[in-house]
Amino acid sequence: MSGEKRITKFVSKKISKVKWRPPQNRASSQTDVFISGSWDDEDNQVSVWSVAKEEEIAADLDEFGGLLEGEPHRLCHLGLAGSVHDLCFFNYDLILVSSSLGGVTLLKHHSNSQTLSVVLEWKDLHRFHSQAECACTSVAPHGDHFVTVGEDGRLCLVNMEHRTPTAVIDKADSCSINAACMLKRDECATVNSSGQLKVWDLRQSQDVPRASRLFLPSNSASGERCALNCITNHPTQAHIVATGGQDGALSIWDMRQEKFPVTVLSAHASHLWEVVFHPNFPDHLFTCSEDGAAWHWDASRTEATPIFGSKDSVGESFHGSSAKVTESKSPWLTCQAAKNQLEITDLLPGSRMPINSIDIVDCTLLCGTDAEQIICVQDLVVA
Amino acid sequence: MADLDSLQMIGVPGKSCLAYGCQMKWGLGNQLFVFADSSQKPSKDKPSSLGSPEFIHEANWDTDMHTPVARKLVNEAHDIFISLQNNVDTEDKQYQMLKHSAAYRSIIKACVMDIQLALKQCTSEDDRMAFETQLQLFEAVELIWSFCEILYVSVLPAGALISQLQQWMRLHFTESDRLAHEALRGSNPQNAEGYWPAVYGLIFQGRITEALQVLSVHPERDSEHFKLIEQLLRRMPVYAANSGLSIGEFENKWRYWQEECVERLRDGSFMAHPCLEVICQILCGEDEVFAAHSDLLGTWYCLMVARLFYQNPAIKVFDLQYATQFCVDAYGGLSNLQPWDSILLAAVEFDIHQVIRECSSSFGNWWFASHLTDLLQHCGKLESHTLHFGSTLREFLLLEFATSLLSHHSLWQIGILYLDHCSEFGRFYIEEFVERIPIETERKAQKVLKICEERDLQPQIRSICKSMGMRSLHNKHLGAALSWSLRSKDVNFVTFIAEKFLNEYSESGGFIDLEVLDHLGSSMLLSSKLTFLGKYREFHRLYEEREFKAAASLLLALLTAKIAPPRFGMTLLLDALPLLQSESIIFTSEETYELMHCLEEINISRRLKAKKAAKDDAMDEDVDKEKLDLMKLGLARNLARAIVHEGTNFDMF
Repeated sequence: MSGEKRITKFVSKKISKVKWRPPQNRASSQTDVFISGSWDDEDNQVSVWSVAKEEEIAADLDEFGGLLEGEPHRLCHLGLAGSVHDLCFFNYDLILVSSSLGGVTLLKHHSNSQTLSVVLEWKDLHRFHSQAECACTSVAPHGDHFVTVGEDGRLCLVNMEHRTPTAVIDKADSCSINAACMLKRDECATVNSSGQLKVWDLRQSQDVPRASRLFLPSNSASGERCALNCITNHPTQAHIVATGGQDGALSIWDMRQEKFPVTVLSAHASHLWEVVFHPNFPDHLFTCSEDGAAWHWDASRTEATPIFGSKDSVGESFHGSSAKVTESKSPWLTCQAAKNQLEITDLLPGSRMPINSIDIVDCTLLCGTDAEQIICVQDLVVA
Repeated sequence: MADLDSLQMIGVPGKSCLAYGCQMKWGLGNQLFVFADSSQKPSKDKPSSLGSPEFIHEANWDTDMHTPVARKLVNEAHDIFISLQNNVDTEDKQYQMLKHSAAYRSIIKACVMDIQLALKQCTSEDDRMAFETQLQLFEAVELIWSFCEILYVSVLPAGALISQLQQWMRLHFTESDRLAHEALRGSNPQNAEGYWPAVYGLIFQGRITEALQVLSVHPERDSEHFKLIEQLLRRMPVYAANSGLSIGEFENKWRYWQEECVERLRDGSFMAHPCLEVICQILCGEDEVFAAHSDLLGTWYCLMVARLFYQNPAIKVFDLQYATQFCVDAYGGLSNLQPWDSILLAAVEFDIHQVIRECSSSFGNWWFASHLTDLLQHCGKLESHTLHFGSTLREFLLLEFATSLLSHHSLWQIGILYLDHCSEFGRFYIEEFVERIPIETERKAQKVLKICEERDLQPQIRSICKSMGMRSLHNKHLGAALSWSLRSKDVNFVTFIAEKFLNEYSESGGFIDLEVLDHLGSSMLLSSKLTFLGKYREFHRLYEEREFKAAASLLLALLTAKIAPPRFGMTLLLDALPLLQSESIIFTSEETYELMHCLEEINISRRLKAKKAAKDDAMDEDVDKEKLDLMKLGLARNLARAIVHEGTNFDMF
């Protein structure tokens, strides 16, 4: 299981976020460019990196001299005010960056000249009552819109064409909202620092939109409040959502069911900062934590692995065409029962410094750490 | 360590400081804020600077390790440092120490290479200067580190010491390689200026094979002199630890070989060829020839290694110090030594304290001195006696280094990890620092809290949670403030926030931030104010959900348990009014009596208060009177209905 290769790149900035660029066309799953954002420094920056390929190194020794195969090298960077909290690709070359100053910046990566430039800025989307700066913790794009959330408990819906948000939910939360992700075109899920997951219907934007549904941490009875730090949804089954909490636990939620998480897997020793599903093999999931660990969760061997066209799903299709897809059960929804069949691998044994962000494409996992490293874990076995 | 010559003076720019004199305040760690002392009158002979803008100047020091290249070193080194601390008590300690020392060296080397690369790519002259200074510094660090590793960390048998030193020399002094390379490139290598120096240099470094290669291009290589010298060179005994040769046997072999060289020199075999004669003199270990080539050798320690190799190849570590005098004199004595030369001299003399002292003063950072000291301490080369400040030298240096990290915007996390390994003062430093780390976002707060939790720093956790809570409060974020206060587990603070909620209720007549209030759970019990707040909200929720029976009994419980703040007594009673007036009977007669009792109590306490404060608001009195009457009426009616109801449905109870 330990066939993977690790390459550590020291970048002289603490990394708060790493993100692969989406593949240019849908046919391929390959990409060798990623972006990173730094935090907590006097001058923070967003950088674009490329992973050196063997042929490239051989072809251009001058530029790639001394690089290992698979080692990232920086294409360009841009300084930004404030710490980078979240970043994501809006499309192939447009990047959305949310900052600790409460704004969102749209950057363009010009691959011809290898430069980054600012296209648009939405300042002060998030701001405290006292006018103090307030971090915009997460930005989630969808269609021609994106949603931002912040420590002020506000949720903004912004159209890329407009300089002011199309909708603002001022008191979306009484605590900080730590992360957001889009479930459907008009539905967004947020997690807050008292451990709640809320689903928002963004169509009601004329009126005061309300949280259409509220989900609670499973330990809410004890009053132990445990913040949720991150949220992501299943790449193919939109009703499955994974969150990571302050206590290091991974929770899987089924948006079709009421109120409580379907599965809670206690995992890391400290804050779980990011969770991602593998885009092509969603039975594989990755988490990273403040305790310095990055884990690979493999649920493909649990018994509930869906078999398409099996009797169950055919039977269901009589009741409605949409039921067919949703009824193919995901192993994540049943893994509470099949916990011991879940295979978990620690990808960075011996590492101690917090890992703030991870992202996976193909067989390469990126980790951004507080030890000012970007670690590439290559040749992962997924499938 | 407080040498006077290590004092630094920096002028404060701007006129206002000149006029008023300076004031200063400590910042975080190595940080001072300097500003004009406005409480002072400007001195008469200096012009007043009123009107010019006032500045606060920030002074930082020990910032060497904050450059991008050095930060890489800091981050990589901390990993090795921690791993070293964890391997101190293993069985193969000797091996572990050597392994970690080599790891440190490899990252220093990587750092040197990074700077070389940056130097190649840099365009501005200022940057170039800065990089060049850094490069010199880190090259020296590498040189000294590996020298110390040979002397102190690796325990070498006699014989192996010299070959280790030679290897060290080969790595760091490549002048003869360059000369040889240059000479061999020309068409007539033997006439090149650097040809013979290259040969000597290689022989000085004990690189016989390479020296022979250079010699072999000489046109006279087949002459008798050349054959002879080649023979001597080839037959030189080489000590190898695994050759099965004891050190005594090796020494005998060596002596026998050298006697032959002396013989050849004496019988004038090389008289006709002075250059070859020099080689033979080197092989014989003649002092004059080493002194004469001091320029070629470059430094006293290269001279020492070369000379010892031909004079005493089986020397032991502790005997090295007796060989230094000659070498230092060859370069003009002690006074002519460069700072790095004298560090190595102190190292050879086993004066480790002097080594560390000079390292601390000649390098602008604590990184080198602290890591080297730590390693040497674990190797047992440094007595761990307590210095006057209360701990060992190792701890002193680690504290200084950690302080320089904690003064940095973003390296503080690593600084904390170093402090963990300072047994005496580390915890105290951490306690002082964590409370002062500027916290801009919640995520950073979480990280700082995690550090506190791991080290069980309860007072610090409380204080950080409280300041985060106050921040939320100022931002009118009551829900978040309550969450923080609950995390701080500070009863007074929780009560304070609960009070804010109740005030908000009194003012607006509604609760805010319901998600937090509705899910308090058992944390509600932390403060009685909060319990009341939570329960009262629960009453409202039950009422909204039309669970009147449950709402009523909760309300009664709140009234009778007396956890409600006095000013809420009347509010609670009035909340009962709609329940009393509802169509179905909610309060039993028993419960109604209790309510009446509560009403009476409130009434009495009000009257007492009214007497004390004679000037009471007449208006207020009227309103309250009205409410009271209404309440009384409601209670009386309900009582009547309840008694009738209970009487008629007696068998149901």
